[in-house]
Amino acid sequence: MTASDVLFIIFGVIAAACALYGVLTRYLLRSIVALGAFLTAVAGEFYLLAADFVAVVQIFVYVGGIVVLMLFALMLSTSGERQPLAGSDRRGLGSLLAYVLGGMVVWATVGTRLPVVPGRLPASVPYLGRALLGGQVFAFEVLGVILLAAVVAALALVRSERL
Amino acid sequence: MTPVLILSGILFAIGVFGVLTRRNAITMLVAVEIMMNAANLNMVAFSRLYHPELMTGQVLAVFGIGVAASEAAVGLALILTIYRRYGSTDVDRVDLLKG
Repeated sequence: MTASDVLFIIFGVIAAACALYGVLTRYLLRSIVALGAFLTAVAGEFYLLAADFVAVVQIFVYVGGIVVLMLFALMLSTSGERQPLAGSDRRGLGSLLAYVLGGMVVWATVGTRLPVVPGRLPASVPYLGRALLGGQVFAFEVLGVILLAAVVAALALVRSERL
Repeated sequence: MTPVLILSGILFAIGVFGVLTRRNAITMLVAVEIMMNAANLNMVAFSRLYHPELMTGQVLAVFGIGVAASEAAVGLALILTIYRRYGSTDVDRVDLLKG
């Protein structure tokens, strides 16, 4: 049981527990904060899988951007005092579907013979840079256009009617 | 490697449960983000297995994070517009198209 195995178990348990709490809690703010903790645990998992750049991008964009954006949206869309949300009446169907999907994925994974994981890999940034600006440069540029379109769309949606 | 894939499958299932169960639009978005992160984890895990020097899975994960960021921005703008119009973010109350 190496140190990375122990860290994997810790991050995995934190991620699963925070995700479960985030979808089960009745308070909206706690759900968003649980999402933040979940994203940080997944960033730790990324780091353990030799994806150090992806882990840092995850923390910058997801935790530092999307979670803050959700908190602003929460602030602007509630009526002020902290109220618990109502539960749902579709819990039976939802949990059944979740069990079926999760069971299928786990069963397919356990039954597959995967190759042996290679040893320690070097830092990912040079290889990632070569891939992003080399073979995948078209998708990289299209991603820039997607982000521009999203910013314009968000601005167009929330500006006031009189402008 | 199998424990990572099992973890990503379990996280995806938790996200599916959240999307189907929650009634507030922002909490549904939280569950969608959980699903997308589970898929990214799967991509990165497979990138480590097959041709790790090509970094295809990690490139896909970076693109996924970028697309998820733009989708969250547009989705939250939509939620705010709906809140201004109907006074509620409960998805069961916004039912004008219901027959």
